[in-house]
Amino acid sequence: MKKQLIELRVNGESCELAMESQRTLLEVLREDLGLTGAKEACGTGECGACTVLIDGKPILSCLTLAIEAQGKEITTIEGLAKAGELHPLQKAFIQYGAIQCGYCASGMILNAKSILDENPKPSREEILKGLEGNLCRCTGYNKILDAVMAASIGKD
Amino acid sequence: MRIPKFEYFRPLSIEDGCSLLYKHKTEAKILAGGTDLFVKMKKKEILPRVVISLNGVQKLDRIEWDDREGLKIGPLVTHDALVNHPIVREKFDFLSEACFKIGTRQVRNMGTLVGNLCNASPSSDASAPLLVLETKLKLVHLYGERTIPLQEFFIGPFQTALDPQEIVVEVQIPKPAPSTAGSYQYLHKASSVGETLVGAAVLLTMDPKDSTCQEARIGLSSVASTPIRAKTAERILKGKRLEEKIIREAAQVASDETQPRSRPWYRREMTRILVERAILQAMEKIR
Amino acid sequence: MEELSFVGKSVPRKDGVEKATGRALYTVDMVLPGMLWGKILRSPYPHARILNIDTSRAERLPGVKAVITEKDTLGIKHGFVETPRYPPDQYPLAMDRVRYIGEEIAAVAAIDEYVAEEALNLIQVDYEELPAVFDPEEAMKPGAPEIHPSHPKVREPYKNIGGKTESGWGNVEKGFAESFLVREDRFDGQLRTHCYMEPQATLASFDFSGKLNVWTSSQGPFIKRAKLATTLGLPFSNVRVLKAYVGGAYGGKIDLFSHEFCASLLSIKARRPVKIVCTREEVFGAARHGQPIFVQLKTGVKKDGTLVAQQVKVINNSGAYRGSGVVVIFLCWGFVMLCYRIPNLKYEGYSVYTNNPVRAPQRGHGAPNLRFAVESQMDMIAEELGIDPVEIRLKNARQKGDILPNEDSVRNCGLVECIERAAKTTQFKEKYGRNKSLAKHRIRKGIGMGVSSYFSGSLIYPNASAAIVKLNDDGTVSLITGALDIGQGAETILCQIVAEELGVSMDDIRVVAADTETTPVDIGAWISGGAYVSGNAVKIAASDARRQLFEVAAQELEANPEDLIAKNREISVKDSPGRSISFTQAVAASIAKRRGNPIIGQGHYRTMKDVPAHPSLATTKGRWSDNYAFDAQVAEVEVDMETGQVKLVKATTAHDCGFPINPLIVEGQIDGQVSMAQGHALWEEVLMKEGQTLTTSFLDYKIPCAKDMVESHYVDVITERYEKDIPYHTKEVGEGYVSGMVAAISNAVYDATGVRVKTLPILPEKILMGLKEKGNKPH
Repeated sequence: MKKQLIELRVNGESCELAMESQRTLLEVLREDLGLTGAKEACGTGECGACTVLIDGKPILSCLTLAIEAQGKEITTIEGLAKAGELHPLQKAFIQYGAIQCGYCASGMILNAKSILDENPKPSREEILKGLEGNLCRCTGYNKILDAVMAASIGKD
Repeated sequence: MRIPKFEYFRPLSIEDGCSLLYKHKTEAKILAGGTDLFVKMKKKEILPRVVISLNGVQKLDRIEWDDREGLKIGPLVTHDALVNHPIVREKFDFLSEACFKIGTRQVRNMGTLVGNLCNASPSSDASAPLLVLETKLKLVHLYGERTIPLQEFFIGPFQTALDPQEIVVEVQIPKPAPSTAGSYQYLHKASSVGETLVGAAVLLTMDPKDSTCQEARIGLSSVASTPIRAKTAERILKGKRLEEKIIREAAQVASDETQPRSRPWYRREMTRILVERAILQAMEKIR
Repeated sequence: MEELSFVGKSVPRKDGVEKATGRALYTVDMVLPGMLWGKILRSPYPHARILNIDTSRAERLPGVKAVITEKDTLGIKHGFVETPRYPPDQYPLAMDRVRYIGEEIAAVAAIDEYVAEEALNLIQVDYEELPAVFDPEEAMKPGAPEIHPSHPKVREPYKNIGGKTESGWGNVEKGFAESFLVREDRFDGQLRTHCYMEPQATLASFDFSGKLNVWTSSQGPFIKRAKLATTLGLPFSNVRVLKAYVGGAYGGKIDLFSHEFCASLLSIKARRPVKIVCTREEVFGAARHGQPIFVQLKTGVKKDGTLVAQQVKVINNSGAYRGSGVVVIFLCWGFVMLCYRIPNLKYEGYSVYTNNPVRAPQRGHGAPNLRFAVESQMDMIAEELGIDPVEIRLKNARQKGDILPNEDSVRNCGLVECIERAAKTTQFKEKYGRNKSLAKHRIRKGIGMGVSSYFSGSLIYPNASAAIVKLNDDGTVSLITGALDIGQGAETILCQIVAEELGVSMDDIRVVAADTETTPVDIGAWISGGAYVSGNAVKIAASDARRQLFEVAAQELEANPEDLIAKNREISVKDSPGRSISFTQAVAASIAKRRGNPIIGQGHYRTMKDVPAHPSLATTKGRWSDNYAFDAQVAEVEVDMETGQVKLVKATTAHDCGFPINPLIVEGQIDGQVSMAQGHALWEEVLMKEGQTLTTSFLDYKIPCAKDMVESHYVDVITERYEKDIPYHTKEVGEGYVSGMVAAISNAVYDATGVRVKTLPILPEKILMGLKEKGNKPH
């Protein structure tokens, strides 16, 4: 298969890559760009561990072709902290015990960010419904809810 | 899991898309959201040599309302767009609810309604509301076009009447009659996310003068090899005053019209319960 | 007692920042230059003879760098348990016979996964199918196909017995004869699975000096090293298993997996790093799932509910090899006798071979199924006698200082307090049985209790840990420990102990962990008791370093070492304000005084210090554990009586964990186990048909999602404490809270509906069918 030259904008920076058409955005982020925060836990769209933001919206990078992600703003977990300062959600996740094994954390935090960006003061139900696509086997979601609620009302 | 290799095209118009389909025929598949296509390819259930993305064609994500013709939905409209669209929420609230139930936040951002219909899962949530709304699909191919009722579009589990050379370009939902409301009730297979165990949509048009039911439509998903209309049950309701006894009878008949393959006893029981609840909720909305 | 600064505090995780920023590297993230991708060829048959394997076409495919089958191995077996009675029984790659669908037969390493997969398709295997058996009761029958010869020490004419445990005391027949009420019931636990988010994965790199470096998603590097070295025929010191972050395990990543062996052997053959990442489908289809157990339980009680006699038979479906099946049937005995005083007991457990994938421990390892049985029956007995379910438990519960039949002491057992406080805080007595007056409501509420206990510091393998605490020149501290953090917070709590002992801050401590070459041995995170064993080793090492530092500081401060305190990054003299030096100054002084000899503290701790070995798996004789954790859990449910759907609304866990080193982490462990109990009780089931796994994705096998979150409440029953200079006792929190909750949910469903479901999961249709049978009159 011939490789195509594509340009992706990831975390505010442009990069040029040559790749085959079937490569997913998840593979390219992890294997070509070394951004291993987004993870694969299922590969078929059920777990949410591969969630990244495209133009601010949470999408599953394991089912998105890299060539189709051109011309869009892609945000990964590595792009969340700015100038060495953690994003309030990252701080809250750590402070409220919302991370155990950490494998689901990247996708969970990014999806939570998109929820808060849409609605700065969501209800508990809205948060839980919004996060239904991010599976976590460790935490039972309790501390995750605490962390997102805390970040939403600006608790530090 | 890797997606098997393929040749990729990104046409700039529907016509170009049709040309490509004409050229590659059954070796090609259309890409819209990708949430069904790539899962099937990863599992090796289908292995198209060619993938034709519609995402390069302009204006396929329109949702348009016309006071005579009703709602028109383009092939790249996502479930998320439908959930939030003011016209859909106002005039077809139970369709909006059904779309909100589908998948997860991420899947709703990616998956298109048309893609979902073309996937033709027997448990597709949007299908039951669309069936009771007597939805039609407009299909085009290189040398022409046709319009087909959604009812005829589903021909088997994951099988549609779509020709390999056709592209669905529009979902057409006719304007509902006055004094009409719909309800969508569902149960999950397990826990709170994922496939629907039973989905029941009911559309009722009531005569405001004598409170009889002028029109009744019952759509069911996940209880047969395709989403179905429970036509015998519908006839029980039509023209009658909807008292408890009639409603229960119709719900039971609807349940008898199902042919569930797995967990059949439970699915039939739940069909009965959900159809009843849907009828009652639709009636409530009309008041 | 002195006020503690770190131990007992909800300190944020040490690895929190790395995980929250996506920087933590799991095995799946690791890459090495020249890395190849490996894939495994698996058996499509549940039972077959391998007549021939032809790999020649695969070997010739461009891009393929190595292909292995059993011919390339030394033919050395491995097993979860390796004792004289239960020797290892599984080859890493199938040798002339396959015994389950998914069993590993061959593996390839290629330049990418596409080529590797194509190569698998080119391997030609000729099989001769053999008759297979899938149900354990069928497998035990005389005419069943033989998967392995039955264990020689099992005298009954059963087939396919991998192991047996027999134990008891007193006279159960006499006990039953004297009982006021005798009940016999059978309870079935389903096949469930771990669903760790990080799939099984291994990266192995063999270099030209003969050294094998391995990163693998595991529950402890030392066991992996031992089994890899043995099966590969390498000296232990030639195999290095390094630390990788682990994306969840819950019991499913303990012993040797074929893909770990294959990645290693492929690397040896190709002389390049090889990475194997299992797909989720492979994990569902062929990795080890939890053990499905059914329990036959006969119990006799006095009129007031006091237990007189209990007869228990447990049958475990262990899959095609012994796995941990022989351990779980031992543990089930333990889970019967820990919570209640039982004057007469007869216990029999069988672990049976079937042509299914091998099973493994899963969070609770038998306790969830066993306590589901015992606690359900307790409620049934209580109802027949007209006694309150809380009262009957209090009547029988173990008390402080009880000596168990195996001569262990339950020490400061807090079970009674757990039961009382759980009942009080949930208003159990007011809520229980309320449905008798709510007959017409569509949504009915129910409340139920479940009690459980877990061992904490038992001797399997033996359970020991050693640690090194090194004081660095700049005033920071290096903690070198073999303990592995699999998400349960091990590194954090060990740092808390170091911080407490040395008076430094959490940020001053650097952790070097879980590396078989550089860190001392540790049993790993799977035997319950990391906080106890690894923690005490670290405590001893830190206090050793402190002692050495105090010798120097005492000279600086012209005081006695016994009068010094280390706190807030200072060494100061007790009751002498102003006489202090900073920790860094003290370290600097030590370098000068000791002529550059760095202060290195060393610690070692072994549970059950004076006991030579783990109790007998076959007879249960012998001392078992230093500590026992206890809990009483209450579930509150709502049931839709039309659809049968159950919602777990509130979970309360009253737990005696000794004392929590980090309360926030303990709460997280409780929440996670409540969630697992919810799935186990209500939905989760791996469906199999004739050895073929039908549920191979998260779509088919539903685990709780965010919308299923349960309101979780905690009641801490403190029974131990942390003191300077002596080892502390504490109890596990990572496994025991699943079992009480599964039982509580089941009892709550009965309270709401009057339907007793004895086979898990409690699906809605089981409730509806139960209601139908009762003629729709719930109570």
